[in-house]
Amino acid sequence: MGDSNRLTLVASDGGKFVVDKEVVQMSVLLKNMIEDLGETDESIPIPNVTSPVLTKVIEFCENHRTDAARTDGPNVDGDDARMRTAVVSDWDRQFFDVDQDLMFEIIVAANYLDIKSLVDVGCKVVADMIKGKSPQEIRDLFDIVNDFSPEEEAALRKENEWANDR
Amino acid sequence: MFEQQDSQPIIQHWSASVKELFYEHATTDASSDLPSISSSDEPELLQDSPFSSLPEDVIVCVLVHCDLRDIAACMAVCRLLRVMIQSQTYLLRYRILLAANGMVDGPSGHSNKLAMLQDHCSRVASAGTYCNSHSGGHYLVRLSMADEERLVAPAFGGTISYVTMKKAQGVAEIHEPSPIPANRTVNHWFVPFALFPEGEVYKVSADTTQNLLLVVQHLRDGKTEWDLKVHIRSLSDPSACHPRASSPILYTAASGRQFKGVYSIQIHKQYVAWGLWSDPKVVDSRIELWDWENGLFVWRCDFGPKVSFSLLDSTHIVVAADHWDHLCVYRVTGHIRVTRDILRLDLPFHNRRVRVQESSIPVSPADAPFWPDPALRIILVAYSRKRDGRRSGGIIIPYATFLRWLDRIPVLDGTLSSYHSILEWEQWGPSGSALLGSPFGVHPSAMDSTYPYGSRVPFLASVRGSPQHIQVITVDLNPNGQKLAGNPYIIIPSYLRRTASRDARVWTSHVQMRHVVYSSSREEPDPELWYPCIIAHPYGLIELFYHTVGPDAAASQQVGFRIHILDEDRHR
Repeated sequence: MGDSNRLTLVASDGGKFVVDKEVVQMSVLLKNMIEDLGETDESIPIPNVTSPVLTKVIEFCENHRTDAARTDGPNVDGDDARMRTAVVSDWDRQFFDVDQDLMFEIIVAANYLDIKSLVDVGCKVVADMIKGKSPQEIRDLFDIVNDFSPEEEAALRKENEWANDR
Repeated sequence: MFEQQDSQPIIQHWSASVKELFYEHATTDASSDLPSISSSDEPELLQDSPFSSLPEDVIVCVLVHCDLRDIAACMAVCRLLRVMIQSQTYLLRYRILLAANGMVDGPSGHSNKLAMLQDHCSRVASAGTYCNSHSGGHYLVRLSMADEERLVAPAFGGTISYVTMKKAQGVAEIHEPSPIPANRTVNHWFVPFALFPEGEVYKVSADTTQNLLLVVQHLRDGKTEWDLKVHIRSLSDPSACHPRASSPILYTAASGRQFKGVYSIQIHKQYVAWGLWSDPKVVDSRIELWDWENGLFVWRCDFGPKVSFSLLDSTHIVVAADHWDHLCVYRVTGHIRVTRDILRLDLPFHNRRVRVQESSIPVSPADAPFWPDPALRIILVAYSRKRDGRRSGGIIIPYATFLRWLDRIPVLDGTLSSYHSILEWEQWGPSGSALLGSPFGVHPSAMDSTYPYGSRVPFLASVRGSPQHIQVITVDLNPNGQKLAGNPYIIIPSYLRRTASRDARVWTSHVQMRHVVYSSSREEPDPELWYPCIIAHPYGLIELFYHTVGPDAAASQQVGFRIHILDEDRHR
């Protein structure tokens, strides 16, 4: 019935998404699945991913569909320290300008769907969030419970001195 | 392949868990008194943070993008992260060793980077026990001694390469050591002058990381209103314009004005800076900054007597001159051509010959496994008393020191504002630089013919009374270097450490900044060899030298350079 270049993804909550095959194939998982299925009109269920997350994942893939053609030059930005992690593009940064739960869900979904570029960008964004923070600041940032005993914490502080005094 | 140590550990605050990363055979009794933190003692608290619920391979992917300091912070966040990171020993070891050596990860996908880095570290620790001219492990380019061929000069791009002008043969040769550690190859390019028939080829410079070749040519034909033109060519094909250059030629030095020649060409990304000087007495000089990609003139500033300068980054240039009592930093903005310095750093002496050495801002070639951290690079300022080179010394200033002050100066917003900081030496110097005293027996020209790369700067000194006995001294201002040197579990054999620390006191008695000095001695088999300059290389040193053969010096002098790659552990 439909366009053979498009197929339907079904999120865990039943939301349906009609997407270009070319876009879907950025996911290694789905690419393999499509190859296994052959020509079919059936929609593909994605049980682990909710509609809001899938919306974002598809948005990313739509935007990055032409990336494969782009060559990965050796032009690593070798300027000052402030620039070193600035390899995340403005678009990607804005893409991840969402609440933390959604951000992590996107990364987990990308990991599940095996979309390497999205996992990589997401991890860089998280690494940027961690950058320069103290352990307590990282706990506050991600709402992590400190499960060390006071003695252990004192030892850890001492261990970390070497990293902090530069 | 870490050195097994018999000495007592001197680091107290490295807990056993971190030590183990360095030392496979660490024994518990050699470790510190700190309580070890195990994962099995008590059940982990249930973490319901979305971060902690990430799959382990995703968290590892995050950590890959973190630097060492951030990884260390993560290890102190919670048990789960700590255990997870501890299990990633390969990653941690690699990151720790990178930081300790002032390196950053390179773009190449070598599978055994950790082993390569460990190997490199042990070579560094063996400090200069590299090949001499009779051991065959060096690169030697000899030229005949026609006067006009005596031009071997470093070229400052993302890495340092070497340009030999062979005017009699009508060719320039460019050499660059391999970007792979311990790889004994030298990349080599030819630039035939016949490709530039319109006039005399005056100077050649290159940036191998960008495949960029700059050829400066004198135009004395009266057909243009300019005296100098600079060709923007492709290094791999000098007959072709560089693919990223929108205009193949830059013209400068207006005809009829005083500027006749170019000096100190320094390339960083799309920018190139050079000095113009006036013939013959060098009474005037000018620094120009160009955007070679877009063919745009960016900035210039006129000075009196010839100045020396170095690019700090894309927007700052540091300038020094004889008898200035300070260094000046200029900020180059896109729109306004501000010719006033925004930062002035007072020097701790007055009325000296002062020279800031040209330098490269490290950019990793595509096939390098790891590379000197551009953020840790240093600027060297050499000074001497007039006509008395022996009273010479140097100040090595990390880029971070400049940044500390420059970050406080707002970016000009269009109003030519009065931001202008003058800092006394006491404000910035003792805590932000390393002052090298006049060292014993040092070659008179040593300080102002030495070039840093990354966090290291090398010196050659002859030991007093024994001209054949050469000392090679490398000062490393990488802030983690001392931790490396002081860590008995890493790589420096005890006798080398002893030598290093004694020399360190002699050489850098005025220094408050932490640093490491690697030094070694060697016999120079040829007493007629002398060194016009020595340059740090990511994986070794390069010496440019002149060589006199036979009694009739004028007829049989040779000039060349040799490239030392840090060699196998010679101390064994």
